[in-house]
Amino acid sequence: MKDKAFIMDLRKDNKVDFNELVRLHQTGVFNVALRMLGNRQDAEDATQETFLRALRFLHRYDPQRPASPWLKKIAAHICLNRLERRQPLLLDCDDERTLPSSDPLPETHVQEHDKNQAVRAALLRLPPRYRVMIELRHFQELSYSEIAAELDRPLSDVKSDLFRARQMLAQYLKDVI
Amino acid sequence: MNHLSDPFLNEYLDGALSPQERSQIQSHLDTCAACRSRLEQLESLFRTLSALPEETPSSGLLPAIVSQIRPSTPINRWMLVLALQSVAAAALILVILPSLVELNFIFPPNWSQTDLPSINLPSLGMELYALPAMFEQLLNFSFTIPSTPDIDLTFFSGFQDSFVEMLPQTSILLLTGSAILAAFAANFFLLFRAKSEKDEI
Repeated sequence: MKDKAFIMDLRKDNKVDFNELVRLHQTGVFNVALRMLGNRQDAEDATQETFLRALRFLHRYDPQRPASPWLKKIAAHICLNRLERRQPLLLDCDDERTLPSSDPLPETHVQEHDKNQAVRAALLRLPPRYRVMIELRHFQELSYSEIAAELDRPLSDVKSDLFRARQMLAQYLKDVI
Repeated sequence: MNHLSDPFLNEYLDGALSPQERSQIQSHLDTCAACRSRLEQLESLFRTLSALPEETPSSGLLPAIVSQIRPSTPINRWMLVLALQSVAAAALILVILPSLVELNFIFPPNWSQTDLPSINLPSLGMELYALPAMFEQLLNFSFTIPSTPDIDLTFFSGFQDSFVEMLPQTSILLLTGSAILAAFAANFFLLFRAKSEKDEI
């Protein structure tokens, strides 16, 4: 496994392999941050923080597993922390820019690009605790129990938050899906 | 007819139900158009989320991340150097100092108030055995000279002679001690700097 070799080399302070690890996984990590934070600059900042934190806590990584899920989970935590620090504002100016208006989307044919923008904007309208549920379940494909362990929350909370998040998304996207 | 609850449908699509529960739901869906419609809406939401394409980060992201990694100053290397130097310094003190004592290099016979035990170099056990006697002499030395009002002139004259004889040896000892202390100080500085760099990351 390529990741395993990288991580083992990294534990020996091999900077070159860290570059390679970043190169391989930066897009995945960046997209976690983009979905959760909503703008590219914040997402790139969070991506940097993710890799630096990963380097710092390399000893916690299990080399038997692929690096991508581990990095994405770190990214989700970092983004959730950032979002919770932003509270109670919930949305910053950049988020406002990407949000759809509260009016229904045009009835005409929705271009694929617009649809994707609408989905991203709908995600940003979710409260952080729901947003991270959608991220971990739908984009990182964790099970209920894995999400509960990751967020240190009861399984019942995971089920109810995920259900509520989907209800809200369905409402926001009713003209798109 | 009782319809399936929304949370139940969510768990069904998430694959979180037992085989028996799944079988019950499938049986119900076969006969209930309303629940099938709700399930399809939920599936559509799942598909929409799955279809969200990934975006490419800017080309500057990789250099930006890598630039934050300082040149490798692994803390373990410094720890190793520090440990080795500490061991070397301790060994130096343990081996050289009692040997010098035994050879009357540091404490000539006219200084001695107690006889030193015989030492068979390089027996570390015997050297360790000699250390208490050496410290005892050091204590006698430091307390006797400055604090006695009635100075024993015999002892004092012996001290003066010995001090002149001892001067080069004392200088060597002081220099060695200073070098060891300087080495420790340098190592701690480097160790602290390496640790600070790690903490900044």
